[in-house]
Amino acid sequence: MNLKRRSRVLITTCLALTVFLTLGVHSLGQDSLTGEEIMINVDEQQEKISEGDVLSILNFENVNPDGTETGYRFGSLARKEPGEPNYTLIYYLEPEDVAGSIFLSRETEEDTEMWLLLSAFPQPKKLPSSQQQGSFAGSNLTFQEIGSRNMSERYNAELVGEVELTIAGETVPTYVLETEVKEDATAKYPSGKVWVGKNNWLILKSEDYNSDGELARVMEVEELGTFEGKRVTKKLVAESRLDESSTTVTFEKRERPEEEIPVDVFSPDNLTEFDPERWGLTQSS
Amino acid sequence: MNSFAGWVVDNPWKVIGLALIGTVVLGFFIPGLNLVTNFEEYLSPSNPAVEAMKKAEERYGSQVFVRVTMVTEDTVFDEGVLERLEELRKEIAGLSGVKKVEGPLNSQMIIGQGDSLVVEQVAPGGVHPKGQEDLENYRERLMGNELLVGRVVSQSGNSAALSIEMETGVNEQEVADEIRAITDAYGGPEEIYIAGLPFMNSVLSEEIIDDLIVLLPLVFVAIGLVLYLSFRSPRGILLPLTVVTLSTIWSVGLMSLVGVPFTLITFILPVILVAVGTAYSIHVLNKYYELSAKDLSKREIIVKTASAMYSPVSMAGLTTAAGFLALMSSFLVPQRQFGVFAAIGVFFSIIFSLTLVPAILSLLPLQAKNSDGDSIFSSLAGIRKSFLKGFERLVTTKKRILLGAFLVVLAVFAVGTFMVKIETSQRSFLGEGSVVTKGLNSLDRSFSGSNQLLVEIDTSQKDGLKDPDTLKKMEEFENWLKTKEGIKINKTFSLVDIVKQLNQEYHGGDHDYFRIPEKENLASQLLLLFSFQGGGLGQLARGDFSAGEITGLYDSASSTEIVELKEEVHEYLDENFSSIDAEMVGSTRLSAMVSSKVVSSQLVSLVTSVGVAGLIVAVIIGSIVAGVISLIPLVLTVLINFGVMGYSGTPLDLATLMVSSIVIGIGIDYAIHFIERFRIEYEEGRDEEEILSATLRTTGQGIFYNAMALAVGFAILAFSSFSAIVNFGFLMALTMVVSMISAFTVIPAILLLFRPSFLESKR
Repeated sequence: MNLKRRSRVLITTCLALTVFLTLGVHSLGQDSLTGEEIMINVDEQQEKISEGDVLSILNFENVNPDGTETGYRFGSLARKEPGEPNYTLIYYLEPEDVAGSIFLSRETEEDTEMWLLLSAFPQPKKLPSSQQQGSFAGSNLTFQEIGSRNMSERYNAELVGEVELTIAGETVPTYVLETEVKEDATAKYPSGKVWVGKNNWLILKSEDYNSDGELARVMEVEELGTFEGKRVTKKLVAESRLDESSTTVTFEKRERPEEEIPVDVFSPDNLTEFDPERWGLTQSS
Repeated sequence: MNSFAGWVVDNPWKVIGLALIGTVVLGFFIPGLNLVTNFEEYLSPSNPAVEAMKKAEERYGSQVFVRVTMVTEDTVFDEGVLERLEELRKEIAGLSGVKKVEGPLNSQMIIGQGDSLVVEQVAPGGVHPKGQEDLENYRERLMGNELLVGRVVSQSGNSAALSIEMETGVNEQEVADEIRAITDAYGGPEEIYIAGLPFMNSVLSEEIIDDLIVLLPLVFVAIGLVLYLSFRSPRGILLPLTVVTLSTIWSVGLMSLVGVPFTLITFILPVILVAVGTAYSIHVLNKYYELSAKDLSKREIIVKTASAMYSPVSMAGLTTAAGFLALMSSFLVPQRQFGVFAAIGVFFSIIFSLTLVPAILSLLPLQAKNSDGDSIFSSLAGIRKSFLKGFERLVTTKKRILLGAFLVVLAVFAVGTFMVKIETSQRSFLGEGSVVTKGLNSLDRSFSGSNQLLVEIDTSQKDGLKDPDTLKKMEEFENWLKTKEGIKINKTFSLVDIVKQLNQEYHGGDHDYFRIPEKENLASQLLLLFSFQGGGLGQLARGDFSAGEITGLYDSASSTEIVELKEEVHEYLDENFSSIDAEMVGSTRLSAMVSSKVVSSQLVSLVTSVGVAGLIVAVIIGSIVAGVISLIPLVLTVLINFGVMGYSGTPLDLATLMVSSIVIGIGIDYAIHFIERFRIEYEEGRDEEEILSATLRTTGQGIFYNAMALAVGFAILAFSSFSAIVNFGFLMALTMVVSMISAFTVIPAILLLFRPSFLESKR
């Protein structure tokens, strides 16, 4: 073996060792993550996905407690800029009798304000902030969950294990955390269990317990999509365990709008002027 | 027959052993017997009213409610009263099986405030107001809400009501028991009442058990007394009582084994079996004592006794069982169950009388006829003799007058029959003094009524209820309910009221907007806003707004009025909701269904029992004429029963409905025995007086004591806590006596006057 060849082997070996050591350290680092750190990662990942302007179209299919079914189709505009409140505008595309109605939320660190404009009436009505934990559009999701979730701010979390979940045929390794609402926070479900994807920091499954300690709801991601190279939820099912109801949320579209969403779009005073076509929000969209 | 009787006498321990084994086995099942007092269970599951109720329960949850009312001396708008009410509500809401408790503090109301419209609890957070200012604001909010006044607070403001909705599928009665425990322990100065079907069922179950604890020992004592006066010997008392005890255990054990519960009707089965079942062993003992006077061995006496009694006891039992089985034609499940198990009980009594009694007698030393007097019924002989002698004289000397009088009595009581009122409500079953009735009265007095009329409007399409035309039709129906003649519907509520109130509050509380919005989609959007505010619709609408219920509240009413209400409502719905399914559901429809079927059911069971009884007599005596004659006193008895009910205002209810069928089954025995004996005496060629005297002296005395024992047994039911059972007991006792008297008078008067050919057939 000549010197040149020997040097190449040495370099390759060193590189390989470096890679292995890096991976090893990384994996050791991962193993040592606490529940709180995992939650922070979840929020950061969520932040990355939702930062800036996002336009989505999503379907809500509800199976009501009495077995009947209802469905809604929404267009959503969201704006999240540093130093500004987080805005979400949800435009009703279907069903026809409520199409054109708009739900608006403005979330600051201190407060969340919500309005509803009914398309048949000229004035938006303010919704009480106490409704944050109420059901959104008759679904098994709360207003709070429709907005940003800020898990690490609201929940204490403890890592209790690691398991693999199968989502649409794909095996996904997860951390299992037990969560409990923080003393100064409010949540519909005071405790629960979440399964966080190790590779995507998405909450892929959760079990929520009510104040009586009963399992009240199970949410599971059934399909994953990709948004700007990051894995995102495409389809999620929230099943109530207290009654027979369930909600399936499907993201039809998630994209950056062609133009920046002006902040005045999110003003309650301008809701009656909202132009859905400008954002491609028509029933056929 | 002799050989079987011989085997019984030769193997007494085997017979006793078999009886005891059967008793232990079937008795083992008795503790597992269920108590069912729920009206719904009384109708066949395929009954349209029950099917509609089940469907409504699946769609909207429990269709029955429990309401707890708190009555104050002055006002509920007092901090202390409201605090206690809040605690009471929380305590009840914490019970397992309770889905929701709505009261004056936590009921939802729609409030328009500036640019917002909120749906919130009347008292913020559902917590009682503190301080005079808050209290006054709260009072104004609550009393200003048309939907809530009359439902959760009385018009006068002195009473409050908690409306309790239970989870579907829970044992409502058990939950009601727990609610009772909470209200019983309530320590405040206010009066607390409970109303509602589950509570009523809870009270009924408790009282059924209390009744049995009182009635069973009483009937044993009463029958024991009659037996003592009849036989004056321990075996004369103990053997018939053993027979009825075992047959009752076997019947009730069998009921439990096959899953038939105790109901408001079947719970009197043990009392009735004790009274009715004694007759067969009395006949056997009577014969035993008769033969024991003869110069025969103990074995011969017992074998002859048993052999001689197979036919008459079986026949008597069969006719009685046939009367009970006539109840099989009833549309009410508990009456059918009562008929079947009473017949089975009679069958067991016959078996024990013909096997167990001879078996036990074979183990005892022979006992001769009671020496004090010419009859084993010596102690009653005086009364009986003068009683029967009177009939003898009357029949032989005044046959035509007697039959004329019979026709007059028939006519008088037939008129009374038309005055009989039908009343099948559980309230009437319990009587006015019951705690249940007091609770219902409280709702009638202070709120919009204790009865609930439910109508389901089903458009069969998503969001169909939001259509302004449908909402208007519903509104018109509600207006009609509140203004129509007949039963007054004090209050109605439906999705219409929510939409109207939303419209008003959306427009700043302007009362001009308290109407259904004209424009399409407005109602939909207001309801969207309502749901965004956390407003719940419960049974007012299904989740997809394809269907919903309209509720009407009305005061207590008679069964007849409820039937009329159901018919009026049906007529209205048929005329005005042709393109939409509109159907009555719930307790009003069930009650109306039961009441409307009472008359037809009564007629069917009456015709069945009369037909079967006449047929049995015709077959036994071999003459259709004999069959017809035997029915004449029974017709009189039945008419007197209904006449007395009509004149005295005793209603035809779930219990009194059975009187005529049972009395025909028992009364036909008297006719069979009497005609048979009369024919035998007639064949001897004696004169009228001798025939009648001999018949009354022999068969007549058996009938007399049997009727007395039954009358006493049934009269014990007067000690029941249920007014319907008291009436049943009184009417049964009366008809036993009437049936006996008419057998002693009408039958011989007809036989002697018309001398039908079947009397001479054997001569």
